[in-house]
Amino acid sequence: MTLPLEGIRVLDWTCFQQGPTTSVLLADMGADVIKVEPPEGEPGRGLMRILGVDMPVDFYYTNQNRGKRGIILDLSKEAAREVMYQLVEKSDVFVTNYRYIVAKNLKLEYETLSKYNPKIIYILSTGYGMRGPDADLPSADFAGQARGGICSITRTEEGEPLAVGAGLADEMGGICGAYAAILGLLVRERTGIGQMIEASLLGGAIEIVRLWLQYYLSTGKVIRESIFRRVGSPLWNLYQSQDNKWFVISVSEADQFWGPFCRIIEAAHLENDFRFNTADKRRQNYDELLPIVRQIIQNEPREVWLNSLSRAGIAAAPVNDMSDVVQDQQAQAMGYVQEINDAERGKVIVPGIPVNLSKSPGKITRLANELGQHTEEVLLEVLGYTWDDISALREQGVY
Amino acid sequence: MKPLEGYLVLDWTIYHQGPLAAAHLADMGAEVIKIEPPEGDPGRDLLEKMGIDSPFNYYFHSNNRGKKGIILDLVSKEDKQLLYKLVEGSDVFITNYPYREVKDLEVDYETLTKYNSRLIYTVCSGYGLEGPEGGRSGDDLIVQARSGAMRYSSDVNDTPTAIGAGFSEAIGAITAAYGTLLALYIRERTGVGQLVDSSMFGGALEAMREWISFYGSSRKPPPISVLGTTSSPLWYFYRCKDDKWVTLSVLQPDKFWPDFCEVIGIAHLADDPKYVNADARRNNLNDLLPIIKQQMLAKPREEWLKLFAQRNIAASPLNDMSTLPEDEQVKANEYIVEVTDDKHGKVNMPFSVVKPGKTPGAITTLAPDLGEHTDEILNSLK
Repeated sequence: MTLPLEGIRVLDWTCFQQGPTTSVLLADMGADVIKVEPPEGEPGRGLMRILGVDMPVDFYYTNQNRGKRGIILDLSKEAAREVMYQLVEKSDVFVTNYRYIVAKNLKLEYETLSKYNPKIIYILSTGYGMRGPDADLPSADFAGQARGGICSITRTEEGEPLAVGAGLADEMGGICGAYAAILGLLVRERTGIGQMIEASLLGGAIEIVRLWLQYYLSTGKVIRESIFRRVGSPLWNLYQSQDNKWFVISVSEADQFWGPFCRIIEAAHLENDFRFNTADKRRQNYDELLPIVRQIIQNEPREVWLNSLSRAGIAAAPVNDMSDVVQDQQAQAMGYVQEINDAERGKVIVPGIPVNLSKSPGKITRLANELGQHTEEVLLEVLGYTWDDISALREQGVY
Repeated sequence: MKPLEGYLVLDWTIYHQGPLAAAHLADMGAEVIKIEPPEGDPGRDLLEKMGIDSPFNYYFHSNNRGKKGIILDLVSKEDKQLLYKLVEGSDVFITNYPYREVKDLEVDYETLTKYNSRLIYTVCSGYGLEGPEGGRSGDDLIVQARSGAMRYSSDVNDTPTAIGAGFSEAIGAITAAYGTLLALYIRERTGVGQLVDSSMFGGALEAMREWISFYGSSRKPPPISVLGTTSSPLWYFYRCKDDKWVTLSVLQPDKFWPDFCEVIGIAHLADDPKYVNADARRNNLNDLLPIIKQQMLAKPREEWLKLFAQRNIAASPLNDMSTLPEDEQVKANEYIVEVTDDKHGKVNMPFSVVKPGKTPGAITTLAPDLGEHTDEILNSLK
């Protein structure tokens, strides 16, 4: 076996980012993921077009749906739900991030599916959890990040909360769902039992903010300022250089490097200035000191600063944008960013695989499916339908 | 039964990412033995070093809950032999010490698998074991900067910031735990163990997948600022009178603008040509935001949420760490649990990653004292 999840089948009834991300992580590890969409396609398709983002490839859909087989089922038709139940019988994992109330109405909730396959591992990917007054509320990354505390721990200089890009809460919810799936598979392998495992956007966000949440739970104190202001050190900070580029300096032993730093920025007089000559004083006089340092940093381009800091053994790094990230040698060497050869679109740079297993690494094979591309293939191969069976389904409007 | 009951994990880690990865496994029922040098995991003293005043060592307990703790001086031949004996009976070994050091001490993957060919060996490093920076330790701020996490957390003026709470460590830890579970699953099916190479950088890039895909597909720059992209005051955060915050996430702002103005008390501005539609508001955002911010300070959050709900204006709470425990969804889904400890009494801890229906996990204890279980564990080897 070369792929971790070879031979495992995942039935994917998901939309947008969180749910699809769970199963794309499993697809990357070799699972046969069958994505079920309504005739008009899941709402994630075309989202970017609606938002006015014009791209050669639907990056959003393909990011979270690469490597899957795609089928159409009109689940409003009972015959389509019958097909779904047959697929459940042939699957190991079922993933959904449709609201559970929708799943219940369509009889695609855990109780029903586990009757067809008692060993099914049912991953329920929710917004705010399956219990509570807002269990049926639709969730979105932006509101979810805010509710989950991520925005509170990501603040501007003025102490205002910010959202993180790339749909962080959705992504983390997706990662937790994949974690749940592997946990479920492991339990089943050891005991034979299937079960429902829930992961949520809110739960994932809480995991991201855990350390500061624990700080509050233990001390009653809340951090409501920019992290840089909180640390209060010019040597653990963010700077903008003359060429409008950003970089960070990350030094914890500040007293050791304060002198060398002052010399690098040619402000030796600051080294022994009684307002700034210890870490505590620098923190106390942060509002006086930082503008001085920032002003000086503005005098040279970033490259100059990064070189001098490096020579002095002071840890620093550029604040990369995506054009930098995809060229990062380390990211390429580890396969965190990959170039794949898609049969239709040729060479494309895609997000890679975040963790390497030495004997059974994951693999990205292709971009995402066209809508309904594999409907017939799946019906024939997985369910053993004949072409007559398939025609009958077509006539019933199942797909 | 707990999901990982019966598995034995040897945890030779320090600070945040490595210990936390092992703690995830402890949460799901694995027996985790934390191995520390005689002077202890430097993470034990981190809060003190950083001048953070907390009588309860929340950092160490959060990262090392549910574990047993032993002291082994891996420089000494005798203790190394004890480790090898422990490895024989273990399922997983996790480390985040710099891998060069690990090799020098002869506790690397090649060496340990001589004592246990089925061992799953998880390395948590900064950037992974391969490549020009293979084996290097990581630093949260540097990883955030390099991965794009900072650039794409910018404000409306494109000024970046960093995410708190040790972001790269946290996401690196869950990625390491994920890889370890995968390796355990493969071993259950095939009998084969392997090396799991995880890193903070890998975790942070995983978080940025959507924007990597955006750029990779088009060579166009992804949005730098979430708030700046919409540049809409109805897609924004506001502080309320009681210092709580509210999120507005209105997808059709033109439709709701007049009602919004009425609710917050600026009805006279609804038709103002500077603000009358989305484009106008985008162009005059820096004039408009202070006005709205001022209005929003007039009432407490709950009152705003009610008023907005009456007009179907999409609004929800923005939680900080003090309001998160009070959130009805957090309570109903038990995302924070109470852990009872002999020494510290009842402690509340987050517990929110996954909720298995039939085989739930649990946080059973806080972190061990230094060497608390050395005698117990080493006696069991005899």
